[in-house]
Amino acid sequence: MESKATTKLNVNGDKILESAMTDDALKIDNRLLKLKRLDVLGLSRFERLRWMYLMRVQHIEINRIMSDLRELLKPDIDVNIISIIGMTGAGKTTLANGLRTNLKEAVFGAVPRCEQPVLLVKAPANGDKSFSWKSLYHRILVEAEEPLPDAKRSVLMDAGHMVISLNARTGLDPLRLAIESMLKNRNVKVLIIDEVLHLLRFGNYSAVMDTLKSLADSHLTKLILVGAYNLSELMQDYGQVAKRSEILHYRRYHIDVDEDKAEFLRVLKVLQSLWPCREVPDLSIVGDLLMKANLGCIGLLKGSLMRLASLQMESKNEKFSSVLLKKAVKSKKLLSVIEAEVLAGEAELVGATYGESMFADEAQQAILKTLDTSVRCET
Amino acid sequence: MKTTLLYGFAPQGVGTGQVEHLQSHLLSLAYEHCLSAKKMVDRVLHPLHRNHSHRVNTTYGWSTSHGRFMLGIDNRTEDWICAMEYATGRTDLTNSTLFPLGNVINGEHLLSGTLQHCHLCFQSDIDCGKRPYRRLLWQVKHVQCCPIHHIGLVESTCGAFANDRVTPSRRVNLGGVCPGCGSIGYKCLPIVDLTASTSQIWTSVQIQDALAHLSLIANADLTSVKASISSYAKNSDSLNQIALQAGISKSALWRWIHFPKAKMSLGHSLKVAAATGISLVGFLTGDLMRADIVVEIDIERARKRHKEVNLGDLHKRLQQAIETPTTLKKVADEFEVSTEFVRRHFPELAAEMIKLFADVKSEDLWTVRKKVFQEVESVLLTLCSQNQPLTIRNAGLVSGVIWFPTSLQARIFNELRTALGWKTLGNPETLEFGPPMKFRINNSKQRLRNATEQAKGEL
Repeated sequence: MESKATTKLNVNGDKILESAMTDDALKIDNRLLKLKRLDVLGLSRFERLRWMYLMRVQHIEINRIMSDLRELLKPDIDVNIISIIGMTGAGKTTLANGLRTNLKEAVFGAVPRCEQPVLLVKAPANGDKSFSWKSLYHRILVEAEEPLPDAKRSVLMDAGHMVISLNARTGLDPLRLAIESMLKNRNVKVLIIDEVLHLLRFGNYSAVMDTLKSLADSHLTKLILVGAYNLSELMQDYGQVAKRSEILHYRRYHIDVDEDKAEFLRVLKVLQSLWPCREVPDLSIVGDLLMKANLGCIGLLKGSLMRLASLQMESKNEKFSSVLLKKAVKSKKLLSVIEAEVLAGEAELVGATYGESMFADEAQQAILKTLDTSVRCET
Repeated sequence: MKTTLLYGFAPQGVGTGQVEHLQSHLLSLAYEHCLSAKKMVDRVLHPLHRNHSHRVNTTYGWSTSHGRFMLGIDNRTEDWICAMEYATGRTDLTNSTLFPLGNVINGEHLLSGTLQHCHLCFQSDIDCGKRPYRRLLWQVKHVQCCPIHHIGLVESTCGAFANDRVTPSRRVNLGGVCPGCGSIGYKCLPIVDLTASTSQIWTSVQIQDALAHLSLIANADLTSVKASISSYAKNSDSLNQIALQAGISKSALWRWIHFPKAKMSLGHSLKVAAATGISLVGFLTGDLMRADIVVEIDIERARKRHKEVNLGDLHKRLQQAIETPTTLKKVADEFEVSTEFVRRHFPELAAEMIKLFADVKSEDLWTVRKKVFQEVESVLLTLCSQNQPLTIRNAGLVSGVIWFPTSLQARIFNELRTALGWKTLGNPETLEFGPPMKFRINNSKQRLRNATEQAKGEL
């Protein structure tokens, strides 16, 4: 049985780990990003864990998503709503944050200071019984650095006259008008909404999607919705949305596939090189087990390794022990629940994602090969 | 890089003479941000002066005086421009004010006291699907008509009945919208097409052109502008003629030319440009070769010569003037034209007249001088015979008229008395005679010596 002191230490350790793994920007982040591993080893526990969290590892799946997004975000492609669907803990929020930076630089390049081509906002979960559009709109305005988001007012235009609306500052109208004006004047090309599940939690999918679609149509802004597998049902069933939308599946790596296994073990090695303690365990020995224990998901793997590092930091002289591994990964029961959800979600998405058209079937490959050889150049 | 505080869209009509003025642009920004203009100014623009190093001191004057502080040429306008350029990330907002004109003109009587607009311009904005906006041109005091539609500007007041007006809490503050009733394009005002005079049209066209070239005017060198006008004046009419034709005082024009830092008002600049036939932009930049703008109507310039001159009569008078030598200026004054006008239309006659009068003048002059010599010689001989000192005072006593030291008589007297042994210096250098006079003086000295010797011989 653990002593009270050990329990207290563990609780403290969990708090440090939790605060180090926050998605909110912290003041120390800029300083930490410039440091190498050897510089970090002398810092406090919180700073070392935060540094490890900030380190991003590129892998094949992220590169594939980015490549697909670049194709779908071209202005002449008639796709207005893109959903990025993945399992819980896969790293979707990390991906969304990365998208904001990468899209700005890679897709849109240098833009005037008055423009904001990419906006990222997290759908709020404020504990109400119904979803609050006002909260979402307010967050969008804050993210766009819109001045005085609480002081917006609406103007009515009727028969050649302009007057301030009677309920100028209440209701959704002022915020909605402000967002439409902001999308136009800031030339927003992409609006990323993370945790879309919070929009859909209370049913009435059609109303939610209609509203989101009209928001996208107001200034030809493309929406990227980031969420878990329960989003896929909505994207496929709602016809109006299905017409001009695509689904990108943020997949996990499968242990049965050799390329996936190799990539997973490569990422493990990279994460190991970022170990925030002086004593570095050789985790490649248990690489296969770690892949099974994390369902082949890079996000879960990183979470497990961070927990392992935190536990190592709590041990005497920060000594590594294989016992710590038992506590670092998720329990078997929890893992089975997640796995069941993942399997159901993956089954749902078969044939539904971008690139999985009828031409992707093996049966059609022979015809496609014939098409390739039949291409002729006209002089 | 941090995003700008406010949207960075351009003022309407930027780069043309129909550019939107800064206050209208500020109101458009507030409208796009779905904020009241007052809140945007109080809580976004005003705090800038606390947080940033550049001098920003926005006052509440933006709403009173119709935003005059935002459109003029003084420091307050510069502060507004700095604040709004910082907030929007734009670098061309200075061309939405008259600030660039401050380089070459002073701010006297520059801005109009009331808001005015052209209802046809508002209508054409609406027809193009744009929100009607206020032009900077309309706020310049001398602009009384629209240069495009050639109709008079109307004062922007609400023409709606009391029942149709909007309560103050619901009024929209936007450039082309009536604040009283919310009518877009001031449709509440009855349409009255006030025909503009040709001179009004010419003035508004000139100012519109100047607003389209504000960056050129901002970079003009005032010294070289004055030098250009000065050399122009030397080549054609004198400065006085230009001032006369422009209807401004000669001293004002002279002062402007000769004092390096002196600046003319826009009104005077227009008058001088009109008088000299140069476009306003050409005058303000010193580019005298710049052709005046072609306007598709007859333009009567504001020149001093108002009368139509019958050239046939003038020709006859010039021929008469040759026979009885009369100066060219006298003939020109009779017909109320300038000598330049006469020279332009009848160059040969004018040249002949000038030469003829010069000969006549010189012949008269020598007759007069001959008499002076005779008088002085007579006075000297009288003084010698009376054994009186050969002073100018005694000479005056003899002649009965006081001779002033710089008069011709006194100067010739100074020269001649040395021939009679008077031991004083002659005339000072500034009063020295030229060779023809010296020749006559020497002859006169010789005559005096001969006369005195003869007188001594007789004694």
